[in-house]
Amino acid sequence: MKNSSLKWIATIVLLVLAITAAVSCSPSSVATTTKTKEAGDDEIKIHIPNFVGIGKVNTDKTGSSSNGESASNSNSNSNSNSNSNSNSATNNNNSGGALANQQDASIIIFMILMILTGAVMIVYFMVSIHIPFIPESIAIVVYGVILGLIFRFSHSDIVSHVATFDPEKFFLFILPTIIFETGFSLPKTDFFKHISGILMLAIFGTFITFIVVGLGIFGVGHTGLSIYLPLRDSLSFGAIISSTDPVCTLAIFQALNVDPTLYMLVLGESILNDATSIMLYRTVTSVGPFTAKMIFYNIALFFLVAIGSVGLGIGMALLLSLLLKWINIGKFPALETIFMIMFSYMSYVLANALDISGVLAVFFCGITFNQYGAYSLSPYTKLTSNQLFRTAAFICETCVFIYIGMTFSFHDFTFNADLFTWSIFFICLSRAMSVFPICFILNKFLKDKISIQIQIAIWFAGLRGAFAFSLGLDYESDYAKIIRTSTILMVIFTIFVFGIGTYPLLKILGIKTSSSDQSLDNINKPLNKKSKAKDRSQLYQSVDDKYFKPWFRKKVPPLATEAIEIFEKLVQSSKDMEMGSVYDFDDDDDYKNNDSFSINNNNNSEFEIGVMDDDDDIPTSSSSSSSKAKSSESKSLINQKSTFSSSSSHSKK
Amino acid sequence: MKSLIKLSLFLIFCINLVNATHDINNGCKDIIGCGPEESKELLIFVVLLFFSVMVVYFISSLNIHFMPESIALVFYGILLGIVVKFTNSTIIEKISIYDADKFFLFLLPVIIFETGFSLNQLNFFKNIVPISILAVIGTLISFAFTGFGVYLMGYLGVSLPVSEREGLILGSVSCSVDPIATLAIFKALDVEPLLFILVLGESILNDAVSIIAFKSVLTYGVSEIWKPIILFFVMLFGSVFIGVATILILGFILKLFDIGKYPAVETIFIIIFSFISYHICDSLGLSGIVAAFFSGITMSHYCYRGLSQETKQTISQLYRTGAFVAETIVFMYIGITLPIHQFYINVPMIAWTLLFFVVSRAISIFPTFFILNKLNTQSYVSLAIQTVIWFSGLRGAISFSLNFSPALDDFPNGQYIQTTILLSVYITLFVFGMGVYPLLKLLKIKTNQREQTLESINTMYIEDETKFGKLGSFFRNIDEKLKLFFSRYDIPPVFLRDKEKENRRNFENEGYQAISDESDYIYGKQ
Repeated sequence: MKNSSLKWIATIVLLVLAITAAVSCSPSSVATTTKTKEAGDDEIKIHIPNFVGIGKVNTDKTGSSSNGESASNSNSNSNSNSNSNSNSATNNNNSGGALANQQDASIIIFMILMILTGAVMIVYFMVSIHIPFIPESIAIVVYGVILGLIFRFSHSDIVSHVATFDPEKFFLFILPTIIFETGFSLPKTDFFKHISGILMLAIFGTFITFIVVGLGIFGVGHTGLSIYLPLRDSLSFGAIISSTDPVCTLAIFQALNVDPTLYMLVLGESILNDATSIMLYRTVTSVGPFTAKMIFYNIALFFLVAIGSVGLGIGMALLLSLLLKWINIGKFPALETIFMIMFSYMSYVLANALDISGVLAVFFCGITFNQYGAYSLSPYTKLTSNQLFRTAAFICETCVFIYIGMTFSFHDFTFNADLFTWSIFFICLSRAMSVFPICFILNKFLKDKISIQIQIAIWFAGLRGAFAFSLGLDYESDYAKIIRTSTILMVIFTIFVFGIGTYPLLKILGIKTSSSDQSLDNINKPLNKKSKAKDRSQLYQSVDDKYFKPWFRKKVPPLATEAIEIFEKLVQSSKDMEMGSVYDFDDDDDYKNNDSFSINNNNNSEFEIGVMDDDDDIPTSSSSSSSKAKSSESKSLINQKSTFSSSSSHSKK
Repeated sequence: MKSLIKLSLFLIFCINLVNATHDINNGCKDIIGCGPEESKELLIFVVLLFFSVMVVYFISSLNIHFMPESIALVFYGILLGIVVKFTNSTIIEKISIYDADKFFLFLLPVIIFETGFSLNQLNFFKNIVPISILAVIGTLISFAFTGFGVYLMGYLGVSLPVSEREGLILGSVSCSVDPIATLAIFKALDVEPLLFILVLGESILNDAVSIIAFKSVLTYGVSEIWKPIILFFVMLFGSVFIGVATILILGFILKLFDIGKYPAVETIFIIIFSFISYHICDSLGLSGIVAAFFSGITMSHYCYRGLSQETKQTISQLYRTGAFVAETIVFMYIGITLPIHQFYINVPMIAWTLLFFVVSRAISIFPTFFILNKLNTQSYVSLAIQTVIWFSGLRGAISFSLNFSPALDDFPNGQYIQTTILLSVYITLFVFGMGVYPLLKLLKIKTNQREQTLESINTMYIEDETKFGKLGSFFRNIDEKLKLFFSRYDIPPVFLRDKEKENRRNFENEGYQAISDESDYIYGKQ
């Protein structure tokens, strides 16, 4: 172990050195900002002797023309340095540079890839040496901070291109991927069991946080204890900071594999309160005085937006399910994957284009698609889509954390110690004021109570992350700098303190966690996590069984499901053979239940069958007897095929 | 039929949806980072892409032989372009402008890497001699012939008078046969492997020649003729070296740290490293295409077999899906550009250019194979295959994208050159693309009955051990040495596999086979 960790450290140091070298050697970009253009052109001639030829003739022309436009764009949007690349790309009309910017862009992409490699290695390293109280997200943030410090002292345009966080890209590409994956792999039953608590926390909790932080900061500034911020700016700060972040929270809680109630409450809250936060932010930053009418209007609008986005997401997923059912795309698995990606993305983009919450839409799209559409997929896609989505989400999360770290050391701080202390105080206070009363009320009405330990854990899990970070970078006003700085500081502070503190706290409170980091193991678990909770409301259940499932699911012959199950087990068993030392399944039953693709809770439809019962000691479904009969029937069918007889006999071993 | 009606209803719904989004007022902009503007752009783009995938699906269900899906996509793009021309929305205009940067940065590496990854290596290296001769000498002939020919015709007054340098630029941009269009068509038809590998190899390798020619025409005078020659060898071997080296480093990393424990990390590493060589080479000014191609080959030869089963399954589908999407986007944009581009047509120049294409290709191909057939009786290239190779000189996406280079604006006749190249891309695409199937039938060269592109996506890569079996001793030596080199460490070898692993793998392959049989049974393979 020691040997391997030494190896790791050596590799990472080498990698950082390599990146540093690349940074110091990399030529300045040709078309970034008008200020450095002349110097940039000279440098590029020196640095790349013979090869640059193409660009040389005409760089000045296109460079300056596109610079003019991108500069005028970036004047309005003070922080959008890094999207001048995309700007110039779109601004270049047909005369645009095919090869002029291409080398620079290649260097940028190369550096991003190198940085990403380093981050992935760090994650792997963290997981291998088993430090439970440092989540890997924090390790990546630290890595980002170090990289940012290195980049800060190299004065190259390309490097600043690489290092600048672009909120636009985050909202357009990274966020939807992460949220869709979350919705797709969500244990639905657990989620809907706690829906009332989640909604209360997400709507009222966020609102309380907003009011307390906003008014608190304003009050403190007014009485002279801290720097003075106008009411509007204080409230905006409250709105920015009010939403807990799904990305960071997820990363930490998923890694720890905590108690499902806690996990669901925190996760659900962090996803759904984005909508609240955005609405509050819009209301506060919109021009005009606050009037009662406007506030009322905004409350109505909020509900409209929430319902609209959820409806849109569900509608998109149902459309996709119908499409998969009607058209026989199963012949072409690639098309299925493309359709899945396109439709889920469409729901996000469409919601944003309609000015409603894309996050909500894509989240519910994921849930709905997993309920209906996923059953119409072909066996191939079922096997691969899972790993594909998780990998993509993993990359996106890693990017976010790197950028949080890099921006931290790249940012020009307007530090104010009073404001910092007060905002920490108000954040903790406001979260306490929102969590404990709401849980108290919920405990009055709900059957299964939320214990005080879990309440404390929820209170503690108020991480601010990428979402607040991006909103903060987006904010513009006279006091924008102060607000931006304190937002970034808040994000870093909560990630470090709450992130590192979560594991010890859970230990102290005696909440069940897994001993090792799970985030990487999670990636290759099968598609449908079967949740332990089985009681759903009867009405929804019957409607779902009677109408939705037959409508939106494809009638897949039982053989296919069987084939997948057998194959799943086969791969799993071979993997166990290979790395029995690595996997440490403390919960064997759970693991066995997990690898069924079929729906085995209360299915009356005739084309669905339960899990293979041969290595399941406890019958898991209520209709297990019928499914047993069916599966034995189908087993005899399978045995007619020679390939299957060999494989199933193996899986029995 | 029923599903068709349902689908058309669905399409109408989608169109309404898109129309609805256009009508939304543009107020309330930029609330958070992504304003509705960018979202709308992306939305429209995704919808267009969705329909283009549907077009591909229908074309391949309808079984029209002479219409490769790439041509169908271009037609679809033309229709879109016509629609775009009559709408005055700025968003739509923004989308419909072809962005050559993005093509070179993101789409091209995916396509080329996938090509190298799924290549039949034995066939490729067996035919390396004719391929490199065709790629280097053939392309140079084509370049010189077209360049000087167009200049001469202008000088003689038969065509538009252009300067010597302009003529050579025209030649250099259009001298390379395009891998994307050619591949798309030949893959779909599943032609004879020899023909496929010759055309494919030529189209990949001549990229380096074409780029060198383009750069040297812009940079050097006639007196410095030796410079580009040295540069060419530096470029070619440098690119190949970087392409191979990055993947070997990846192999090291995978082996040293036993990353197979976590398939996701493995997948990420593989994705990163498959792009990295392209971008290294491009940022050094070498040929990224050659590098990406050879890293694809190295990946499938050394790294692929060391991967965990899940990663294998995922990345093979991922690559193919990625390449498919990239190709779809490229052809769609080639189509869209036709109606909305501003053309400066000079008919004689286009006609002469096309004629020179055809003639120069004939000059390079037939003598080459005549000599090769005399020297080497092992792999005989019949006249029929030669004819098809001659015919399949498509100009496609790369010429199309190089064409938007700003360097062309500098010349007085730059716009005429642009138009000529664009039109020659369209003409070769349509004529050759649609003519290949009848020609193959006419020459009685074996093809498959149906479109294969979509189906090939889901076959697993099952590596066969005899890939290098018949190779020359030189390559085999290197291969053996590499394997020896990588297996020297006491960690379980990644590149060589032990008996137990092999058994397991065979077993799993059987499982996959069983599943694919099963899905054939369910979904009905005709």
